[in-house]
Amino acid sequence: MKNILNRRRVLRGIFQGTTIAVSLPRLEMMLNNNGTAWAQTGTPVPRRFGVWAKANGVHINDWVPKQTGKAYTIPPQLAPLAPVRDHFSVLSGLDLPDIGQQALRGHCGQHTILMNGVGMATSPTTIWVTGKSIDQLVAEKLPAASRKSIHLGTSGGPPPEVESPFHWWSHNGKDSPNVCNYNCREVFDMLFKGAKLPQPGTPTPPAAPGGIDVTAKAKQSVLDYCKQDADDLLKIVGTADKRRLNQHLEGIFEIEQRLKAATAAGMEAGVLDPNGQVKVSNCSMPVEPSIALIGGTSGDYNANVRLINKTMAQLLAMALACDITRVFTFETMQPGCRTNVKSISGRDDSYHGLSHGGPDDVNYVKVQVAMMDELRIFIEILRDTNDGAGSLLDSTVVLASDCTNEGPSHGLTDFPMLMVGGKSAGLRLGEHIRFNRGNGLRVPLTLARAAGAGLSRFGTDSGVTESFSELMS
Amino acid sequence: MKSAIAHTLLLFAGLAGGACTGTIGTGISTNGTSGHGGSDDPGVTVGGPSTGSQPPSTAVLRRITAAQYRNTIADIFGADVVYPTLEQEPALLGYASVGASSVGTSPVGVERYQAAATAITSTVFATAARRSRLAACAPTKVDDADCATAVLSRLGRTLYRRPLSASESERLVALAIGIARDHKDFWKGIEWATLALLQSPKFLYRSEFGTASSGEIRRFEDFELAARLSFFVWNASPDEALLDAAQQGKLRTAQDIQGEIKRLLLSDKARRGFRSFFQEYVHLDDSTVAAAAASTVAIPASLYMAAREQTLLTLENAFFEQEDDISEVLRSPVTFMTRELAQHYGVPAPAGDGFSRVSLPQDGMRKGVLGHASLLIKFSNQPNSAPTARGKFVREAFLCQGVPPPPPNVDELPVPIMDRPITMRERLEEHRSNPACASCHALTDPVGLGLENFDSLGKYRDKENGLAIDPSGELDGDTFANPGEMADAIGRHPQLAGCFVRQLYRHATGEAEPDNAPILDDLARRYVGTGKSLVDLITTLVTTDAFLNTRSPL
Repeated sequence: MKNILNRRRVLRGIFQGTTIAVSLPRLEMMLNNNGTAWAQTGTPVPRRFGVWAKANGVHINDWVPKQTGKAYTIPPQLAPLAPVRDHFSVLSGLDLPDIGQQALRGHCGQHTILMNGVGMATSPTTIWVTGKSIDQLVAEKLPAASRKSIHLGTSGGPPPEVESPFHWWSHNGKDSPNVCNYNCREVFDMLFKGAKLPQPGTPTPPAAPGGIDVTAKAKQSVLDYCKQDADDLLKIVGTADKRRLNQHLEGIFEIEQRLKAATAAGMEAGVLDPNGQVKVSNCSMPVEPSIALIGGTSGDYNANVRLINKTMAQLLAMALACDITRVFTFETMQPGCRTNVKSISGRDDSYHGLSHGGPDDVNYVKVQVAMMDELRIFIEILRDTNDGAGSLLDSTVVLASDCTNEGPSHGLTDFPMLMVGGKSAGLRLGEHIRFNRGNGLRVPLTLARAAGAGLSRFGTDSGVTESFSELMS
Repeated sequence: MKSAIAHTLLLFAGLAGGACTGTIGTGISTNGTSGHGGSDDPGVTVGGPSTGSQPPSTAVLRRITAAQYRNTIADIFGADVVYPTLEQEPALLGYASVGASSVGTSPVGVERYQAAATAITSTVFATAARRSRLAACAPTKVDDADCATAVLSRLGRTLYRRPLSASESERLVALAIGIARDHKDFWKGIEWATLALLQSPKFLYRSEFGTASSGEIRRFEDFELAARLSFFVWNASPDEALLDAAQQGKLRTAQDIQGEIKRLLLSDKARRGFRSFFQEYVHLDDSTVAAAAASTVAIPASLYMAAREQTLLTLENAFFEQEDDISEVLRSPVTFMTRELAQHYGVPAPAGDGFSRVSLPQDGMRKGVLGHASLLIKFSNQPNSAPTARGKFVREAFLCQGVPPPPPNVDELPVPIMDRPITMRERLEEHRSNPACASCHALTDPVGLGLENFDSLGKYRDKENGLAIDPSGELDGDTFANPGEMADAIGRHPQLAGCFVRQLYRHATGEAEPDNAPILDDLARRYVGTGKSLVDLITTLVTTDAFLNTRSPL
């Protein structure tokens, strides 16, 4: 099933161009003998970290396997994951600490505790997420890619009644949500448009550096101008606004980094090193998605939404394979999402409404199963993307979870979590790992460390410092 | 005493103990602070309410909202300029301007600004004819610095809402000339400089910090005040005339400010700008969100969008044409109908295409905006009505009473027993019999149940599951027998006017609550005292010390 590393494809795709003559021996240098590292620098194939999220809870009794270890029987709600059971483990018996301002968190912000390790605060009469989410903490520790992180979503709407930052999974500090993009074409344009990536079967040589790129120079002068203006403002604003302006500057710096990479290699996406060599082995241009693939525009969770899920996963896989980013969040349903799920359940109701109905509702179970099928597709796409000598899934550590534990109660106990991929990071896969009331915050910490982010602790107040050795093989 | 915050804390303190307190938010107090104090700046005569000993709010950076960006670009470069979506600010307490006063911009958000700016400049500089609209001169050579200075000074003043400083102008012109030389094209230089202006934090954020006036009080400078007026009334940047007024020092007396406000209010831009306020006041979705949400409701998208437009037209007409007060708006039978809407409501169809102003039967159940399908649909869990959400909306939007979300780990309502029909009222009984739920649901459910005659699509019904609907209830001691009487009860609620003032203040200033809490009481008293005209309230608000002054940022 798994593709082997296809160096010939890389060869055809990149180096049979007319402007750059590259000999085979140089190509051989791209990977070391084991295919586990980039040969020139000896840098290991990078590890990646991400969060895959669904929403509106699970029915925990049909989610947690009855047996522990490898020989567990797949429970009803996880049934679609049977074909990929070697690539994930079910974690159970984990609770999230009840921290933050409970009354404000209400019953819909449990994932902010999972992601941030802290509760919410008011500002002064409004719900805000404080702190940085685990994906951002990891992104700061992993070696720089051309984008710190990307945040993709499948079905964004219609949104909950009041748009509030806690509906997002990723936060780059207080009051600074990383909003998901639900538009496949926009994601494609953002990540890949203009990049001279190899097209399968179509030699596309990177542009040769040479002469002064006046466009790049102009872009840089615009960024310099904006940075100076931000610096001017930094001198007059208060503490909170300094933080906001610095967040804005971070965005400018990211654009600048990409521009520098592009100037060096003649490429926008920054997937070439300064010598014009592709940094990774299985990077190629994904298919340009149709403009119709926009999540949240369809009232129903129909075939188009399912195609968006698949397309987003493909775009993500290539963004990781091309080392455009190493960190992501992938949201299959927005927390509290009211998307109509009639085409799955047969009943004219929103997923949110259905989740409140309770576990005995057969329609609710159908939707849960459909969500796990989306996860299966996600896993398979990463699994089938080459990365060095292995698969992209093996180098990608994924926490798959939910915005709440169960739809009807919206609680913090028995929080549903799967750990996915990350075989080469040493994760113990293919099992049901049962804890006896463990602190769920140790899971993101353990996975972050497995991905190579040396965090000393995660969260404040009831923050955690200890990994779960049980999660490692 | 910061009363609003204190009230809020009180509410949450109550919750921690397991109970919602009664009502919060200020009504119109009769023993408000102080009379009319003078300004600290002798050059300014302000007739508005005094801030007394209360300090004005601290200055914060305010990102221009997505709507303000859209309006501003349309005003400066033409309504036909299209650009990719921006990152939307959260509507905190329902108001984008409040969210934009505290939210950060993510890397993707910054990238979206870049993409939007690129799209705008590529349109605006596409042809010689188009760019000539911006030209203040004709260049004599590729690196004509004088002409570049002329063009960019004008553009910079428009986008930064003030003249460029000497050093800003120098940097910008140097950028333009350098690029013009590289490209051997004067206009390429201007285009890239415009791109820089559009991506600059000085355009994207409003940094209105004032100058030291007295003690810790700072007075907004002329151009800052121009921007405050314009973003408030037009939800867009100031125009040339307003910037000129600022430049000429003609925004320093209450009379001057009121003169400008009158001009702004008479412009069509005020109608466009206040649509944002009305939309936020009654919690309607932004048009793009609404277009997406339309497909989730079992009515044609055209009808869904028409219902939204009905509400906006009704509010616009009531506040601007009729100069109704908020109480009348909630009780008035006057609204706007298309034939499609009339059919939905089951009322006589208006003549002609499009919207017509109509008056529904005076004795009808459907009165004021609470009878609009737009709101009734929005506050439903399709295909069911959602009395809790409806009641929460009434409390929050019209009475400024915060209702927190339910606590975690509460059990859901029992699934309706299907062996016999049951009404929503019966189903919600659990909310009020369970002490953990009762304290908050006692605030929301009785109000929401008053609207049970309107189903999840906003259609009238007198039976649910074959059972008679009982819409009677009480609102803070005022009883009602049906939705029409409930509209009357809200209309005469003592907190209605004060809350309306508070909501307008939030929209105007981007502050969740003013540091100077009595300002709201003062304003509310004046609002009531002057016949409750929104136009008068706006005019009053912009000459208060709270609007004109600030404090150093923390």
